[in-house]
Amino acid sequence: MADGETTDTELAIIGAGPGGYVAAIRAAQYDLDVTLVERDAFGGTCLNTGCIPSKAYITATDIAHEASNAELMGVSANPEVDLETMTEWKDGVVDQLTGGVEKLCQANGVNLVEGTARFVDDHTLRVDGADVESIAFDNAIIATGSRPIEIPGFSYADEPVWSSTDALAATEIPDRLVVVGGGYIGMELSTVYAKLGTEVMVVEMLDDILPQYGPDITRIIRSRAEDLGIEFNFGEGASEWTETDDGIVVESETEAGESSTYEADNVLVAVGRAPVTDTLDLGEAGIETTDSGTIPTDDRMRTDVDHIFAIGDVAGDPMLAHAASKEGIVAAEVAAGEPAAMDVQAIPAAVFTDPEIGTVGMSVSEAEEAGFEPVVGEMPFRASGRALTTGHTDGFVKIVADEESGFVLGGQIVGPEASELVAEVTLAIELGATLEDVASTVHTHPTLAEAVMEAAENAAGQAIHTMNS
Amino acid sequence: MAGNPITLPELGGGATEGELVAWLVEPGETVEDDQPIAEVETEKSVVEVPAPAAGTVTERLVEAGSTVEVGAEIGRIEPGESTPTDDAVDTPAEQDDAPADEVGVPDERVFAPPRVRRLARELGVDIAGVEGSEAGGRIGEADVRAAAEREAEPEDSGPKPFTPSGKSAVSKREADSDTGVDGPKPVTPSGEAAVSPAGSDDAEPAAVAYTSQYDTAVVNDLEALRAELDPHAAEQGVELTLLPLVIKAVIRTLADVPALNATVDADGTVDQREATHVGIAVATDDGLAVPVVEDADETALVDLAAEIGDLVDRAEAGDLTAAEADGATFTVTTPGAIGDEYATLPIEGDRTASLTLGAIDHRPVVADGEVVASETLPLSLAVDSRVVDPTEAAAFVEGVVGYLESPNRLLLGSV
Repeated sequence: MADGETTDTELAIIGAGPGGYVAAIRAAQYDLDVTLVERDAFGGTCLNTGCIPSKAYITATDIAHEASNAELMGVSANPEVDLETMTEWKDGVVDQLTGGVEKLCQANGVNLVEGTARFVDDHTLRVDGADVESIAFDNAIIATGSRPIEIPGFSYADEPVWSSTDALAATEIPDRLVVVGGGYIGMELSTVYAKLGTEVMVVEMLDDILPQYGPDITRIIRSRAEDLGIEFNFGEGASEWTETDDGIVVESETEAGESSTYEADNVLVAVGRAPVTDTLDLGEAGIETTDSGTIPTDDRMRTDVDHIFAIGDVAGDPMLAHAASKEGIVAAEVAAGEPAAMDVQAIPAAVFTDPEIGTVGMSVSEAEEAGFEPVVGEMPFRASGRALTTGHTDGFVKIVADEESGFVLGGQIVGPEASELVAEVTLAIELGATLEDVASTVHTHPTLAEAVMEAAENAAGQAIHTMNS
Repeated sequence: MAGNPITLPELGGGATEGELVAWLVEPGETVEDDQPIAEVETEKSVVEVPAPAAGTVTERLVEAGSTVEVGAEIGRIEPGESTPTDDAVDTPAEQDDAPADEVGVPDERVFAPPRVRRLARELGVDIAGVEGSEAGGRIGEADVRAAAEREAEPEDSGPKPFTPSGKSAVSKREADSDTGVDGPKPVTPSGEAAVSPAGSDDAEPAAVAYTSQYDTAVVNDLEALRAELDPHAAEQGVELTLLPLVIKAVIRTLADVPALNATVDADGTVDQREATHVGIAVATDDGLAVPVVEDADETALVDLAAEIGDLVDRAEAGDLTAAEADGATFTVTTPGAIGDEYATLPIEGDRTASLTLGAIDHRPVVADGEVVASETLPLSLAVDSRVVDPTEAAAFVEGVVGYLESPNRLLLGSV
């Protein structure tokens, strides 16, 4: 290895997604010399092929769908969707954000290296495809993220078979789409395509969508999806697909061996994501992965090798961008000698279905399992003035608290802007706020956020706009 | 078996056995003398078992979760030099091999804001063991700082059998939740929230034999000094009463007779205190409250006056936090709190002595063969006779009276 192509750094970070780039900037703020290696695109899955492009399509298709379904409000329209322009707009958003990430890193003095890194030993990385061949580091953070899981018989290399990445880069709107998997990615993209006019068929192995949520939540989402024309076939696993003169046929099987076939133009496989740890030669650094490929970490995000950290999807569930960012901040601060730790009390989650889901902390049953005697307050959006004026009244805010102390333990929100509303409940949880604290805080009228306050009041038997049971 | 036995030491509170709830070290781990190596829970509290010596823990003979009798062997240690733990950086390590001074993240829900949780880590406090004094038992910054101070103090004075981690005081159900969200609680002399439910495990003060000493100081000169200084204090926005001057006299005398500035645990182990934190017992509607002036010996008179004024006001309003009423090394009970002249109060908490001030009043005093009316301050001192020699008690009272009667002498050692 040529000496001129070796660089020394205090902190090497592999992967510039929402975990890695945030860690890089925070570490630089603590005056560490940081080198950030990215092999694909700054911003990672989130900005390039995940959160951001999917939300762009969700918003755009919502506008089209809303406009054509507003006769009740006296608005009649038949909007024309130009997928090419929509995609150009989405690409523009992505470019602006990824460019911003790169500029922010540079402005903070982070050294950017474009290439593929792997471990040579526990203090050295080899980088392929870059001017820098080798990086000698004091500390390292592994932030290589995850990739869509393939299932047998469905290779993303075949054109009709889509991963979520492909579904967010389509050049044509398919007439018929089979979606394998009723998790959050499958449901968000099903909704996008249903609103673009595609006939969507969801094939799910389990007996309901969104397995992490209870029936109080999934019932609302499924019912609305069915209104949009999405069909569901539960208890079936996709087994193979074949090309026909008129598109493709996807075959599925029940556990009992009964098979069904579905005609389609494309099949989207969205059965989960697997950590990207197989390209790193982790063994050379003395790090072992679990059977599923994730890297075990402690509450400081350290791996078994103390000066090497792992954050984000490679560190396992929850595979969420904001969890990765927080873990990145913790790892960077620990590397800088700060007393940081991954001590958050709750990580919120949002699903951008129609309506949205926002959840955080404990459900009632989880609170009971944890030894609390929970009390629940609920506010249905049909009792919210603002919800009525948006035309979207499906759903509710539920807030779970400890009856004795009043401490807020969790919240489940289904409805318009649930992804935003959950932030207030999350703050209450982190601060150790009580129901009374939330209920006593004045909320702007007329807003959806009032529903959070009303739910807190309801838990205390003092809601104004609903009857207190 | 390699090494010397590690046996379960006395657990305090009369407990003869306890459940070993967690090992804090792995076999092969080097420990320092006195480093906590295991946690044992009794009915009353969770206590940390210290390493009996520096060395390498060679064996753990008891599984976590087992009940162990006092004196039973729980593990073995090979004595030797302990080595710094930072060599862990280069060796693949288990998750438990975090630096020794690093506190972990509790598995269970913690009711404390993020900045307080971070502060706890910074101060090396396990937040799971901190009792929250805020509404519903929420943990605030003051609670963490008080816990850090409690943990730091025993190290001043050689090995102690146990460092109570206080963990048991924290159980969610016990954390005075019956008061709902009423804000800070008034605090009783023992430092406990006055409304805390039964079953709280703060050790009851053991019945100790104490002896008393009484005297009266003529404080005409002290009053004159106060009157002279008051306008200057007023310029700084502080009203100067006699109490801060009396406290100054007490602090000066404690420096001369340090045996009274000490704490003693249930086993009678004395902890000679270097810092001087003066508790001031004040009568409130909820009984006595004892706000604490920390490092009173390092506080200038005017600042002492301001701090005492603030603490007493808030104590009377019931607005003290538990942390503000914790950690006294010596207690002074204020006039009017109890009686007019002489009274001997039980010594609160783990202190070794307590001084009670009577009301300042004109009383007959014999001067030059004549009885004259003079401003006088009755003093009652109680001392733990196990710890404080009667001659030391007498010397203390004599010293305080001396400073009160010739207050200008306070300037000689003034801070």
